[in-house]
Amino acid sequence: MSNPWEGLLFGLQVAITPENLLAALVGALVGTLLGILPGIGPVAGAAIVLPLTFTMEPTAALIVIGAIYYGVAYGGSTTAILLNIPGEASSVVTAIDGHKMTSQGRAGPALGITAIASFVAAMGSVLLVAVASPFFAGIGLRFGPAEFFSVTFGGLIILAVAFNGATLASGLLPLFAGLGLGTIGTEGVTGSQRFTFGSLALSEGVSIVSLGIGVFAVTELVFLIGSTTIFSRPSVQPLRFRQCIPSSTDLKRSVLPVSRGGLIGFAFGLMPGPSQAMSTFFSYRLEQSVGRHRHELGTGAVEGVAAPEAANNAAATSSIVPVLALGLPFSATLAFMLTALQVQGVTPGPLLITQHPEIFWGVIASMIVGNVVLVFLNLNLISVWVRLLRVPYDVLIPSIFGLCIAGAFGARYIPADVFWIIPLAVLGYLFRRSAFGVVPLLLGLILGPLVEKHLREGLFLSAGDWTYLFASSGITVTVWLVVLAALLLPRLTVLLGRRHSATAPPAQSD
Amino acid sequence: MADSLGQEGADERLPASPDSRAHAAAETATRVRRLVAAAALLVSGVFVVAAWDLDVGTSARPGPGLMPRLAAAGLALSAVLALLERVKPSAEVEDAPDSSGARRQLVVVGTLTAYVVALPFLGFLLASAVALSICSWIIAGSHRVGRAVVIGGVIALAVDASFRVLLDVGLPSGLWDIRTF
Repeated sequence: MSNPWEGLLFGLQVAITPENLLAALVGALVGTLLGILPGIGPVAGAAIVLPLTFTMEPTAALIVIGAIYYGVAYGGSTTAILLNIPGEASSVVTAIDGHKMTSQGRAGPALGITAIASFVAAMGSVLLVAVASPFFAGIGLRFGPAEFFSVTFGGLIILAVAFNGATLASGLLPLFAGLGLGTIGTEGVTGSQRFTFGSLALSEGVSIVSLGIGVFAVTELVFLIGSTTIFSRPSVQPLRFRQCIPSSTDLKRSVLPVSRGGLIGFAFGLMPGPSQAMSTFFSYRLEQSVGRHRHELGTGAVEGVAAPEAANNAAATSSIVPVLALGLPFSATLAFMLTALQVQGVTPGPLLITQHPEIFWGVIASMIVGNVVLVFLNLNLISVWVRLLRVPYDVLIPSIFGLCIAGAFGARYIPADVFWIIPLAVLGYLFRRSAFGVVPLLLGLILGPLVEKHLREGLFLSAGDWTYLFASSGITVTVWLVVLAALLLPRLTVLLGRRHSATAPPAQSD
Repeated sequence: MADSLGQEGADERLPASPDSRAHAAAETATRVRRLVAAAALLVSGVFVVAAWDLDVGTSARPGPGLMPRLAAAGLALSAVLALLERVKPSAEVEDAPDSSGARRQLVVVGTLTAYVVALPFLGFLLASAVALSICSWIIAGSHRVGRAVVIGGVIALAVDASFRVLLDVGLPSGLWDIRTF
């Protein structure tokens, strides 16, 4: 299916089956809920939902997790606009003008523009993804163990170093801790028991659901419990659907910002890193430079909501492509998508488009369906979301704890999976108190077995020649050069900056 | 002298500036970081010792012992790096809770620990009702025990019923087979 339009039509046929429609609906609603509720974000939500997808068809399982991923963006924007509390990092920029609009009595139009901008940009991103897919399919034919090893391990290092902490060790230490955790249990090739100490529970290894719940949900809630904000709930004015319809002026002013934001988001989504958050900052900066009403940004301008929201959702859509086409998730939530595929016996990667077109195109097309669901449901359910924001913490937090424990047990029906939550939550707490990243820990655990598999395959194929893994093709060389640049450039920039300030002439005094 | 005394008195009454708060937070984060790094160094050593009997194999046929040793080496190197680095004031670091917040955190984590240990024996419904009631009571910060018990009980019932009936996921029912359905 080299014609992308054929692929997209085929995907739509797959996406509108009753099971997949229901999966998109459930994922979109759950995602929005996760974006609105504090303390439990998309990673923990995907961790809880993941075991429930094991009995689904692979396409439906991916649709649920994908819909959670981009549904969270909608929910996070709602709290950013109404309360100036961004639900996710990707909603921080939206809060700037969005909350100002709320203060001016224009919360409804702000939410309406958010939904419309997100929908339009996501649709544009889906079409671009469809057009770009033959390119990924072509690359797939050139991938061998060395390329897979380079992309997985090299990609992990780039993510850990470039985007996960204040210093080099901030990302690397959690990454290697995650890789180490991934070796606990029964080894896949020879069946050897590693670090099990004769325990049946340890032979099952560390569940990624336990890690996702422990480090991303329980840790977050423990921080919330330690703060004084748990004793109050914000006051939110009720809102109705009719109040959320933006004016024709708002719509006209949003056209160019949405177009620009959507293109920026699409590009960022294909690159490693926190693409959604980065794309929002970049698009807002662009509006500040070229926007027609740039002088109004920061005072409640609709462009300040439209552009970052468009970027955010376009990035969420396009970032699914590296997962499906390269088997490399650039975010913790998407790492669960990878796991869902592996559990179903499907190998993500460049050959997925040709070997399982129903999965690839089904998931891409489901984003059309999911975004339609999101834009209509979110606006119609706005009064429900607003009421949810008023649920007291002494009800909300225990509810989430209950869901976490049930979800962790439900993954594999092993009590040990529940026990692991506590030490992992403590680890997550210590990491966050000391400026270590937590995403590399999860990615290390999930991708560690893949890294080991490709490493051993590569060495076997090359009869023990380690250079095969680093310099056997243009792809491997390029990846490792990018890794070196990610490791060295920031340090060089700092050094050069210090030299420049040391040699700069002193300021003249009057 | 009086002026300088007055000045000092005025400085003591002034709230800490954002810059000084950021520096203090970075100093605390650096101390915690060094503890974590030291622990990671110890863990990497334990890893290597525990992996001693695992076959490393050869370059051409790597064995199950290779990856643990590589991970341990990476962990040790990054731990040493972390010991040498300092957290910058601009870094995103979670604030330390005040003493009452820290107490709440410790009690909740202790409750959750008891919850997961008791789960196989009491079953999900009973263990959740007790643990979540305690969590609710701690979070509410009030003496309304009755409200906390109702909240914990309702949540336990709702989650147990939802998972068993709606999602067809079995949860532990404990030694006395206590469950909703």
